[in-house]
Amino acid sequence: MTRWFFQSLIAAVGMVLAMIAFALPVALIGWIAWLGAGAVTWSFLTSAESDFGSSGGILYQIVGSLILISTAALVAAPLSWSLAAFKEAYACQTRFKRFVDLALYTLNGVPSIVFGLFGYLFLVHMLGFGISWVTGGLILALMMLPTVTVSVSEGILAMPKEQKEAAEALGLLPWQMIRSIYWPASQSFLWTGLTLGLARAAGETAPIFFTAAVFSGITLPHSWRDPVVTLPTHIMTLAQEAANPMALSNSWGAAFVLVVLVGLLSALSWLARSNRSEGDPLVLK
Amino acid sequence: MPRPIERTEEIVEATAKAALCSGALVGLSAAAAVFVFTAWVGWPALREQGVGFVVDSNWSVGDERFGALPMLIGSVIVTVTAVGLALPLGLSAAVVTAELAPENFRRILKFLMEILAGIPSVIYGLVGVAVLAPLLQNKLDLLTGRTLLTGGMVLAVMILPTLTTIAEDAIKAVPREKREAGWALGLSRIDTILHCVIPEAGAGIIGAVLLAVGRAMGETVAVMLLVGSVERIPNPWYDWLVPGQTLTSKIAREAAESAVGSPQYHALAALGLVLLLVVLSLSLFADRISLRARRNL
Repeated sequence: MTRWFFQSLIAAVGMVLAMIAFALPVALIGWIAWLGAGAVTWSFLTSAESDFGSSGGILYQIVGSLILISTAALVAAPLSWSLAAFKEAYACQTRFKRFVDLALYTLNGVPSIVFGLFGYLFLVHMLGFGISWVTGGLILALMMLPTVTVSVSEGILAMPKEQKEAAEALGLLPWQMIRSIYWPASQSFLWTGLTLGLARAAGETAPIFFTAAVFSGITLPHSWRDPVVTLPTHIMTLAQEAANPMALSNSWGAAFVLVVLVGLLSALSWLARSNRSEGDPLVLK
Repeated sequence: MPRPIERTEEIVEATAKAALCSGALVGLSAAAAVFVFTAWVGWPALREQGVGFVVDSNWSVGDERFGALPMLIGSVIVTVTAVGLALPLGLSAAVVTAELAPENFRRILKFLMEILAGIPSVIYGLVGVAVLAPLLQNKLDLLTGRTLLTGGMVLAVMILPTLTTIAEDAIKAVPREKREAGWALGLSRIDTILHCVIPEAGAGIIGAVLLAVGRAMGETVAVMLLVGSVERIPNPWYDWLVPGQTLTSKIAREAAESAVGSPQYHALAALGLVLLLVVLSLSLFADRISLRARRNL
């Protein structure tokens, strides 16, 4: 009888804990949407802040975040793609491949604040880029590098072997192979990796708040050495004034917009993933 | 016979190879620079402070004394809190999904966990500051709601996806025969899970915990907003409802104030180096363990 009792107890407690875990994401998103949607109006999205962000809108924060992630994408895409293509097409030594894989794995595990610190010490001061959107874009690009590279390599490796053999039999040189076979095969994977990386980069605060962003009082950058205002840093600043209800409401509004941005990018990466394999003209049947 | 290669082809090939190679080199050296540069700037401070860097509890920029003990203890406390809270939740969710729920519930779990993992860390910080901290402050009658425990509680939700999805994979990977052995002995469903399945998935679950610990240690903004940012070691040691400081929050709070080349600048890089080493060894170790677990199954 006691055995039966204990088993039921364990089962019940486990069930309740699991239900809490399942309910948490739903509750959190629902809550952010509930509080945030109330704060978001058309003028909130299209006007500049005032009073250090506790009133007014978040137009330039949205623009600033978009500037940072587009810079990151423009830098990360060619670097990751050439790293992946070089690794799969030219490097014949497995030792080199293993080294690159390990390097990417390790880079992926680096805490975001260490990227921020590195950017501050190296880019801001040593190279003299200052606190600027260029610094921020470069740091975010570096953070995305593993995600994008691994995704592209995956695409190249997932290619049917016959296709590669056919190309080799035709006597294609390495670059010709990359251009006509690897590129089409890895394209959708590049998009997946990029959008996935951007979804993470868009929400990052620690790497940019002392290397690329200021807290308020500016609009658009006028030169490459100017800082920007961004959504995550805006939320962080307003969160520190949580006692002021206006600041808090604006903060929820900005949080909602940021969640929507991240959600859109994730949805894009999901689309790129589900588009692949069908309708690929190069796949030999 | 190989086909003849034209001159223009050769030039294009050489250019392309050079371009791809330099792209790859830039990417790799940027990655290497993160480690080399952090180590290079941090090393002088470690040499100067010696063992004091990890056993001294006094961090004073004026006296040029940099003891990181309160930050190390703070990081350990928030991590222990986070894992302690997230492990029962995540493990239960993983077991229910892998063993009891219908097959397609797996996709729902992954989707739910992707939502949690996708919420930016600053928004967790906002939720903590706006909701959890005032709640704790009022209910428990504290001086401030921003404490080590508050930080750990929010961190628990943030590491839940890592813990749950990897643990679920590990439990799902246990072969059917192990369960059949339990049923054949007449064990109940619960006993089969507790005594046949979970021990078998143990290594995978430990791997998940280590990865989660690494993520918790490295998490910055949410912790920085919630932990109170006071360098103090809890006294008595189990009183975690007091403000503290972690490695990450310390770097985040002070980096922008440090003058280039000053002792503080080197000390902060040394904090970053310690953090980097701890987090990376955890993740490599976790990888090793889950690799071995997969091979043994």
